[in-house]
Amino acid sequence: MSEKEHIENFDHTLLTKYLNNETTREEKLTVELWLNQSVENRNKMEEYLNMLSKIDNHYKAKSFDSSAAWKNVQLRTDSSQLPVWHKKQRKEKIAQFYKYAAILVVALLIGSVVYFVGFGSKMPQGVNIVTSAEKQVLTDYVLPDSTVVTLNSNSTIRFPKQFAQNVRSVTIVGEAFFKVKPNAKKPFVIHAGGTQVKVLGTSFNVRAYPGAETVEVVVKTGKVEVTGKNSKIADTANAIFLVKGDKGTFYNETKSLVKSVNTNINFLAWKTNDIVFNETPLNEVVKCLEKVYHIEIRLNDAEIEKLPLTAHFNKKPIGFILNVIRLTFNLELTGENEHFELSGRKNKEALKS
Amino acid sequence: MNPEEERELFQAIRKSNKKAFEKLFHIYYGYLCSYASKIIQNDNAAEEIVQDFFVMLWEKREQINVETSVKNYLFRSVKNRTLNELKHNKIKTNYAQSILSEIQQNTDNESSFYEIDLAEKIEESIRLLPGKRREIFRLSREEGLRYREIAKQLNISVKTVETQMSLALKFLREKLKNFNTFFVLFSLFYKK
Repeated sequence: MSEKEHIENFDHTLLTKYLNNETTREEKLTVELWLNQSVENRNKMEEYLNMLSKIDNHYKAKSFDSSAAWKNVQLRTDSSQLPVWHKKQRKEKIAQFYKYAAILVVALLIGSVVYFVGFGSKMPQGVNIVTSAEKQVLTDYVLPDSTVVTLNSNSTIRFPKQFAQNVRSVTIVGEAFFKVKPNAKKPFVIHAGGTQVKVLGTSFNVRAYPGAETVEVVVKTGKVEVTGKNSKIADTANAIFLVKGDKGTFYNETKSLVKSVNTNINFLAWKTNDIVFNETPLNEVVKCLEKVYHIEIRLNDAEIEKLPLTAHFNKKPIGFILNVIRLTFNLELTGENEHFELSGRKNKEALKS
Repeated sequence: MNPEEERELFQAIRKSNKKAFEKLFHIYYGYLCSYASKIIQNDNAAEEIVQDFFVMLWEKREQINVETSVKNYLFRSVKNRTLNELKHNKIKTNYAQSILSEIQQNTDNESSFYEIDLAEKIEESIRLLPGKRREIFRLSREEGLRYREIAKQLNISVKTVETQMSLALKFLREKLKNFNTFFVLFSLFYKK
């Protein structure tokens, strides 16, 4: 009975904070200690995680606008007498729309870039610089327009104390996740490395570390336009539109801009602590974990580097994850705090003693 | 909506009842898109696939005869279409290949498929939360806002947000836990 009481009495508010990734370092440790104490505690956590996952899925399903979609489907099924003709006409209409939208965007861009150049030539007065410390993820810095930025370690954002009249302009070095407050009249422009990312109200990740070969933008929601700098503005070959699930890569050397489908399902793991592995070789798994948890993991044997891991870790403590890996592949795990080592079991005899 | 009612709905659709078709559409659209998007990792592509499917469903309504459940038919069809899209996608990535083989082997990994049954219950449980608490919970889980952002937006303290979230979670767990238990008992009883 006292065991049950212990579980029930554990600070529920703290548990909820942990589930929402809102705990301080100490609070997180307290919860992890509680998790380590018993299977019952871990089961309870699992129950909550399961439930939240179902609710999140429910919200995700709700996020799809079935009313708008129905209008589409209704249109297409009403004209079933002349399906081919109708489809073609719709496609043409869509192409036309994008043509005008693109022209509008280019025009806006010209306006905003010209403005920025003018503004930038003066010595920046009232400029805020926010940097995040090494190994610490600075969460949720709210900009003057209510846009929320999450900076990864060693990253900087620079922005004016007050945004300009017709554009919101910031500069970043490193990696940041943006949730831009929608404002069609004032596009949000991010200068990152050799690129310019323009946005009307979306959420996406920008990666522009100094000395890196590329600048990467991955879009989570909404639409984003990326242009390479040092190219003529009207040169639409060096501008790309990205939507949910897209990735834009700018190669610093060749100044080329490439669009692709984002394949790294863990691109936001540094922020969300939600990590998925699909037959991922252990050396890549380790690289990802090192990045997300800010620790060092060494693989001591070459043969274990290619072991494929398939798993999904949602906001799990690193100790838990390493244990799963250890048990899955029957490895030896040593280390603590911020340095860990994994090795293959060579001497099975030693276990018996 | 139980399987029997769904079958009746489907029969109505086969007899060109557009209202029935719309009803089915609204029930399944979100979850089918969510399902497809998990496979193809792209919401827009998922919506296109699901809409194309429903258009085809209407056009071929007289020829389609569903043997098993309507739900199975819908999810299976969308899955096949999504996998085809993935296969024929010009950008063939490592991720696409690995996910293809995993999906073909692993049919248990289909949460949306099971969760749609809980949809009404989840919706109802959230609706039973008192007004402020429901809004706080929604801002957190649906819009992904941080506690601090919620506090700012609603002009309350972070401590209030913490407490309300905790109470919301407790409440929802009670509501949904019972449903799961009921489900298990029900199926056990039926297995006789």
